[in-house]
Amino acid sequence: MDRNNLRPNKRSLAVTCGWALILTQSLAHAVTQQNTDKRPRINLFPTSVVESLSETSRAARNMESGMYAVVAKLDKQQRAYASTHCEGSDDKGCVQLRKAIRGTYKEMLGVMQKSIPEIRSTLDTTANTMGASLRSEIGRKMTPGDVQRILAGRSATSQAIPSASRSPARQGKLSKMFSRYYELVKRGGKQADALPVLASQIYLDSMESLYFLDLIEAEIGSQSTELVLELEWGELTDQISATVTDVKALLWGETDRSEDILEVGLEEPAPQDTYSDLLVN
Amino acid sequence: MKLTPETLVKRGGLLALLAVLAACSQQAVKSVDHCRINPNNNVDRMFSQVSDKLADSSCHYFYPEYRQQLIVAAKGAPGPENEARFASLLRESIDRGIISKRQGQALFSQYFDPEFFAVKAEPRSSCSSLRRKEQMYTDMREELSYKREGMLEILDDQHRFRQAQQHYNNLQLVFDAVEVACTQQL
Repeated sequence: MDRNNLRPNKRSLAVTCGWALILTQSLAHAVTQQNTDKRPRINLFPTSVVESLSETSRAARNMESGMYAVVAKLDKQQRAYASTHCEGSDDKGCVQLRKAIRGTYKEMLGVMQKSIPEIRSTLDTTANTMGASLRSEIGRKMTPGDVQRILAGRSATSQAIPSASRSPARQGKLSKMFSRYYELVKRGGKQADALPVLASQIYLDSMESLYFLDLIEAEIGSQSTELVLELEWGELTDQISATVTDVKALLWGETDRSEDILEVGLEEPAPQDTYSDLLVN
Repeated sequence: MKLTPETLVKRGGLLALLAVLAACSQQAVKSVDHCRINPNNNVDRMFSQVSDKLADSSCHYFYPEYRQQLIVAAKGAPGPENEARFASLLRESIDRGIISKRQGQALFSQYFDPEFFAVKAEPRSSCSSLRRKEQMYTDMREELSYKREGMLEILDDQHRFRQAQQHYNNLQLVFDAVEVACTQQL
């Protein structure tokens, strides 16, 4: 066989090998792709949700910053009232102090009343966009089994959402909760298994916050009227103390529930390949 | 009393019937005894006995009883090796046609899988399935009690049971939110 005849053969062999290599590579790629694609795709946090979370966090922060001074003043006055045993006393100083407390309390209610429409509007948007996302991405597209598969993170690379950085001191509970949600949503895009939990938590918290905002607003309306009538006389009611305690809990919070969210659903799944025939996918 | 040929035939028939019935009842007693296993403290021996008995199709009727006896025995010697013992028994039971593959998977999952079989069995979309959320939660609660038995009492695997509890909580949180979201649309 002469060399000229050999050359095309070698060339065709090289071409065949090249094609075979490309084919093998693409097959391998396709298999990998297929394995990755087995994982249900989920897009729970479109831009609209992320934006509304950021807005809610900002609105909550505005409300809280407007209230710190007045709540601190009220707190100071209440402590003075308790330490001077003014309760039930007709002493002129005590009457003055009661009047001052009522005035500050009314001021606090005014600040809240002013802030509520903005925060309600942003919360409403968050609840609506998050609800729509949950409904379309999980409610309609997935079976409960799909949800479980995602939460178990079986085919996903399990990588814990990095915990949000410490928030600056004196950040209120509500804004902290939503800013942490915002941070988690921004950072946690790669951890598919925790996202449905996060989305559900955001949605339920938004709905609950909206419910409480309505209650607070209604309460403020009725209390303002009472205060106008009783500004000059009468004992401080338990209602005032209770409301101040609630507002302080809302602003600074006794326990921070937003910390708990970070721990939810982030454990490494245990490998159980040995029993795959006895387990349902 | 005069023994006529008719009477003789009748009596003979009656005796034959009694004999057959006696033989049958003896056979039944014999097969019950034959299928019984001797309870003892050696879990491996218990599994091996059950395996032997299941080779005889007349003992398949005792399958639920065997399972309970093995669960009790495994609880007496909890450890990770029990998982392989049960898996092997279930595979054997499926191969012998005593239970279907689906039943085998259900049993194994209910006891040893941190995920919930009751949830996997739902074929419809979440919005539709969650219309009977309360029933699903009841099934999940029941399954969690099987998991407690399987993971804590049989395998002594606290980590796995915590995983199951975590799944239980997370699933309920997500299902609650999705149910509200689905009904909000209505």
